[in-house]
Amino acid sequence: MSALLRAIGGWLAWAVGFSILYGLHGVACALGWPAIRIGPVDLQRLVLAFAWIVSVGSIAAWTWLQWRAAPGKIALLDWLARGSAAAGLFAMVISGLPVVLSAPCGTDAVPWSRGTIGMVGCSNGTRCRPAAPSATPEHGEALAVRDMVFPEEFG
Amino acid sequence: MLIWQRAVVGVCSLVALAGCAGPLSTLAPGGPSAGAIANLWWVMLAGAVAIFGLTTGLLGMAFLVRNGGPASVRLWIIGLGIAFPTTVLIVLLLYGLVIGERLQPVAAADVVEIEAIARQWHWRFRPVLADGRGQETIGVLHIPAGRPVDVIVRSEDVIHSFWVPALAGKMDAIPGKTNRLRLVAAQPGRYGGVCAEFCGIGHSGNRFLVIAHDPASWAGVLAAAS
Amino acid sequence: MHAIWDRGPGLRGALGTVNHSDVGRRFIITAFVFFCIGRVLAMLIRTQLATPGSAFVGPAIYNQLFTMHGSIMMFLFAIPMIEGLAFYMLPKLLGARDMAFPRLSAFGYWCYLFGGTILVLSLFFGVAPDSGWFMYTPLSSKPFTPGINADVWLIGVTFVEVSAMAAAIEIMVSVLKLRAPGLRIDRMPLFAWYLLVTALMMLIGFPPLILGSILLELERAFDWPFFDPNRGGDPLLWQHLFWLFGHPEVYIIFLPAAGVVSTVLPVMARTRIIGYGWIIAAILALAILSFGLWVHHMFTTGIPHMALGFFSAASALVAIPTGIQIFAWIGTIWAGRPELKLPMLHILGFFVVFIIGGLTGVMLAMVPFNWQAHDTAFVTAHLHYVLVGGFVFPMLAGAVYWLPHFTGRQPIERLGKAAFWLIFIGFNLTFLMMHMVGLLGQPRRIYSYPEAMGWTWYNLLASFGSFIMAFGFALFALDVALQIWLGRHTQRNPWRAGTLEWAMPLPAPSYNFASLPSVSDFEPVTDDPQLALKLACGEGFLGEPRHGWRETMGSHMLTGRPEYIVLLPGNTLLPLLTAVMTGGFFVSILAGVYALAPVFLVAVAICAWRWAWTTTNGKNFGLLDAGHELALPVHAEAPGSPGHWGSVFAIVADGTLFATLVFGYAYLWTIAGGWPPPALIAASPIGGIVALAVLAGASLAARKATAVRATLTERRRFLWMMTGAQVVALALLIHETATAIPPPSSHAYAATVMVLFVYAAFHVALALLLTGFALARIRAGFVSDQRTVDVRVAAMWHGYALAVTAVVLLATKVPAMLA
Repeated sequence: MSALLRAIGGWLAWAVGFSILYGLHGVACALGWPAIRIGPVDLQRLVLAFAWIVSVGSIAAWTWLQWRAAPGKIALLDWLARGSAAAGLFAMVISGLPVVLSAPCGTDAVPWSRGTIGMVGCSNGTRCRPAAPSATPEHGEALAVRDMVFPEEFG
Repeated sequence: MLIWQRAVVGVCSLVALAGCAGPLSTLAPGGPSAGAIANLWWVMLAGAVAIFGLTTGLLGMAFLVRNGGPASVRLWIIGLGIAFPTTVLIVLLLYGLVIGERLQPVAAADVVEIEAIARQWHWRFRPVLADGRGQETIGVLHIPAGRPVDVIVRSEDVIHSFWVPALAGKMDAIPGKTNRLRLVAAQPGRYGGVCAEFCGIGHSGNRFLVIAHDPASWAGVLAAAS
Repeated sequence: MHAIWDRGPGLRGALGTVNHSDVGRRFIITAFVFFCIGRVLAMLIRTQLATPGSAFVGPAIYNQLFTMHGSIMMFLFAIPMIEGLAFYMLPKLLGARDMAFPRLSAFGYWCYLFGGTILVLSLFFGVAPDSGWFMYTPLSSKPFTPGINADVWLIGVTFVEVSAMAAAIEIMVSVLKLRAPGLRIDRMPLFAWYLLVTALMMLIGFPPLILGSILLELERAFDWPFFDPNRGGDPLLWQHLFWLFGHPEVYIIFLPAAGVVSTVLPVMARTRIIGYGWIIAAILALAILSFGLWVHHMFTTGIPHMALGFFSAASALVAIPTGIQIFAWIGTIWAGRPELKLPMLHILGFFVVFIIGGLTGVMLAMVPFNWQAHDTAFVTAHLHYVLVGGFVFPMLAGAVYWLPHFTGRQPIERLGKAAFWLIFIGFNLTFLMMHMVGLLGQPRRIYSYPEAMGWTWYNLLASFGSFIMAFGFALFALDVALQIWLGRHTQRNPWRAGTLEWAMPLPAPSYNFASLPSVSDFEPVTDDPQLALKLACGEGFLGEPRHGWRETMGSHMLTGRPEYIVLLPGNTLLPLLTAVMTGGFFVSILAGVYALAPVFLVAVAICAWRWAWTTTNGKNFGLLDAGHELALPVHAEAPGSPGHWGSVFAIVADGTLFATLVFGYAYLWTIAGGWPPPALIAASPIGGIVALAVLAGASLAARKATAVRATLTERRRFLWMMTGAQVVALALLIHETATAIPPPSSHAYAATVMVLFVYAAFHVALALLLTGFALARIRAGFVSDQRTVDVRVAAMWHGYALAVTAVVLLATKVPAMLA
């Protein structure tokens, strides 16, 4: 049984790392960590990046152990253990990418406040950034379905 | 990207009236959000057709070649089975994540906030003003054209989903939650909207209309609201 | 030998059979009947959508139609079809005579039949489920679905899931322990690997759905607000639980079908598959990765983009193991001399359809595209390409490949080819159109649309295709019927395959092998074409029937070295009786007669007691002759018996359910609105500490009771100590449940804490029951120094009860004490 578990060890480790990232992310949003600045980044990104690096590091160590391990009863299972460790390591690197690429918390986590039109504050969670890309005229001219038969046929 | 996009739009107009147009079509974008996603679709479609051609081509040739020799694991599994999809997928994943990031409702100076409240089976819309003013409309959403609009999506009963295919992706209206969707209408016009999440017996008819106004007309809407 | 393994005569024989071939065939035929019902519903759906503004059925009926179509195809067709194929084929592939727990297979079948019948009958009474096959709350909650419709779904599907859990445990143990002598794990047929991985996924994948169904039924029946946002619940919790099951489900359906491809394709290409180890690596990767994808069904719920990114990445990664398999198969064809026989034709259909489904799947894994395509006909089309491509076509290939095995007759090629082309063309016409119309904005689950949408022609063509496909399936059924009644007798190994299921006379005898083979390579039949004759002449193991026992070999998990002789139980009505009592439990809940439910639960417990009691006959046999001068004990006298491993895997499944429950509790606490709750559990930890202390003390007793050198008197004494501790702990937990927790309907917190405590108390009670059982077995003289499995199982479940009680008390008392 332990030989079989070892054969999926790398993937199990990935599952643990993935769960930790997802769980920490939820907790961080709930506790408002994105609003706490630490140097150039916020607390959430710092913690998540740390968790990501630790996960990758742990799986790398596991992989190293598997490649050095003494052969077991069944060569195929040893090979699977090495393979799943390496694949789990790769998967951990890839699935953690959003930690550095994506907006941490949705507006869902931001209490919605009534403001004036055109005045949206940079409240906790959202980063202040330049406006969204301005409209490009191509779309509308070519394809906006104007004066559609509304709403009689439509509704 | 624009040339590519123009070419596609051209192809679409050529294909036929029934090609890409239509009141709820995702392939006839009326704003940058929907446009970026439509581009993503065309890129993925081209890639998918190429990959499909490659695999079925290899499959068909297997019957013609009939070489009966030993197969190379290095070629078939490591090369075609692992290296090839991994490369394609990582590139695509990064592309998708970057576009998704750009479509996030980030704070901006000229954003208009409008509340969209769903219930079985109609939508109510209310511009968000500082002093609580605002004329509520049922079934018709008024927005300014050429400015980012944040739709604050909520529900009073079951889960619905706010969707104006020509302007942006969809966002669920979930009881107890407040969601935010950024959309931009490039041009004044009328756009179809629909409830995308199954919401009971009146789901099919749970549609609405979006009217994008030019600045003058938008001023009129605001004046009427106050 | 036939007299020993066959079902008895008459109705009693038909109801009491536990033989795997009987049960497997029943699963397959019943699943096909449900498939036909689901197809009819699909045609009604397509008829309604064929033209704009259609008045064929109203929205009320239409909602029932598509809900039932999805539910039937997922729960009553796909999963049971897999179970049927596994039950029928696995022992034959592994060189065994039956599955590890034959009565459990029969019990599973009856649960499936009764649960499926409840679901389908509701359709005739017009109270079928109508909230969509994923039953999103709050639409499926009491205020918005006041009728019985949602209850039918929750009860019927959970009843059917009982059989899936039973099958999962059984497949795991059978593949790992019931292989022919010498069948090492690294020479196992790929199909067995696929089923092993599928069973593991079922073990972990189904508990979240079962938990979700229990919670939703509790909310509907007793107003416990797990999903009500006004009282601390969250509708999204349901989506998490559902898709935590729902996404692995897709791979649970795909993997066995891929196993069929990996089995049939090399035979059709007249070669061996390339990359045996790589394919195993790929399916192991799929098994785990597929549990990290579920949120991609929830990309539009407003979950933050970073979290979506994690799941988008995992969803993209999961395409790589699929790519490995696809190219391993194509490479195999290149290496071989492929013959375009009927099974190969279906496999080619599988390639075309499944590759398209996989490509659209990668598209949908990209978050921005998903925002547009989600909940449109594009997604419906995608999932049909994946499931019909990834399941129905391989199953058709498997059906035409293995039908000679079932019937002993030759297929009729022409009719089969016509059926294939009708299905293939009809399918692609229907669902290519649905991709298009989805991109043009047609949402899922609408019953009608105006002409102005521009969807008319696509829908009309799609409906047309759906009917062509129906003709194809009708022709397939006709082909099978003709083959059964009119086909010519086939020779022993019509496809010249190499796996063990062809080393027997056709149609397969009830005992599979007159004597069990010794296996030393991947394709025993290719190595020794006379193997079937030799086995029939009794040249293998266990060739001599004795005492009318049903015997098969139990072997080492990895090396396949024979370890013990498994004595399997004979035909009995017990599985049927237990399933009827289980049904009574579910129906009394469905009917709202809650007072009757505990009565039936006790009846199930009594049946289970009887069941376990009759598993072994309690005598010591010592070493018995197994043939070829091999002397082995019977399984009850050996460590690591099938019962032991069955218990281990049951705990894995149960533990997953518990872990999901704890996840739900943590999720609500961090995400849902209305927390912290107005009232917490009483903070006093004394009762909990005492309960834990006595249970922990008893686990020391449990260790002594299971010690190798312990005498019977000692075992009995320690078991009594365990019983005492369990009674004390149970009383304390019940007291806590009755006095310390706020009313469950007041807040999701109170409801969840209540469920946690009831879960712990239930498991302490279960451990008590098992300890009592072990004591009764000792008193009856059924336990000896060699036969200790009853005591070991009791100790195992005691340990589990201790663990969950500790987690429940920590998770509830610590926050209350800190507050």
